[in-house]
Amino acid sequence: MAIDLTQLERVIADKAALRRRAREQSWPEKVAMIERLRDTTRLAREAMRRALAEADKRNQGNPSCLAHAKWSPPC
Amino acid sequence: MHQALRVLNELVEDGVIPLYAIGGAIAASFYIEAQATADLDVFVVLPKAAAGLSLLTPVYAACKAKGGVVEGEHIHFGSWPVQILDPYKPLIEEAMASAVEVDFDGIPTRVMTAEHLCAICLDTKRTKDIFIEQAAVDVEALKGILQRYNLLDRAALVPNWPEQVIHGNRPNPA
Repeated sequence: MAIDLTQLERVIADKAALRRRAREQSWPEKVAMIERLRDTTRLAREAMRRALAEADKRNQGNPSCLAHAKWSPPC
Repeated sequence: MHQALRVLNELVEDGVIPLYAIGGAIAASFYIEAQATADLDVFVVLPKAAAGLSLLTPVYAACKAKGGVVEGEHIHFGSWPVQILDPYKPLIEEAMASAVEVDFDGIPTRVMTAEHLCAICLDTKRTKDIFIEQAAVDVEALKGILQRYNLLDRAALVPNWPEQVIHGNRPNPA
């Protein structure tokens, strides 16, 4: 598949503009952004932890689930 | 963060601490684009015990009295966990002493200079070249700090750092 250079250039230009805008923000604006990112990351982490715990509970006693397969020492 | 900065200023006014300076990603974000972090790093000149050990207790007690909630290594003010750090080495002491007075939404505060933040990154081997990439540092000043603390070899290890940082001469901004 041929690469569309015009599209690539547009993506690079967009990214550069995004970074330029990010740099031009005031310090309080940047801190507010950091705060939003931090809170979103924490929420995502908590949701993932909950989902893993639920999956773990569902798979308890399921012999086909590797996480709960019994390990036997080698002979 | 407003509450944390107000409390820090009050600690200075009340004589609990003589001086503080913001470091880490929040300070870096003053000079360059926003850097992800979970907490606010504050370097504080702590009162010393007779044996020369730094005492965190009076600072924590004063923070708690002003509404701070201690949780692990942090003191929470509103949504911001604040980590109080002792200037544990001469580079940090210099960074604290030369921190600049700035304004955060009308609240006066002090942040370390971009050059010191950059040197601390190198010292702790978090070799980010974003300060250079975004032309946020005075290369001569940075070079001076790196020389004083024997960190020039660290700069040489960072990919994409201009030769000028290691060998002098200002970089061409173009």
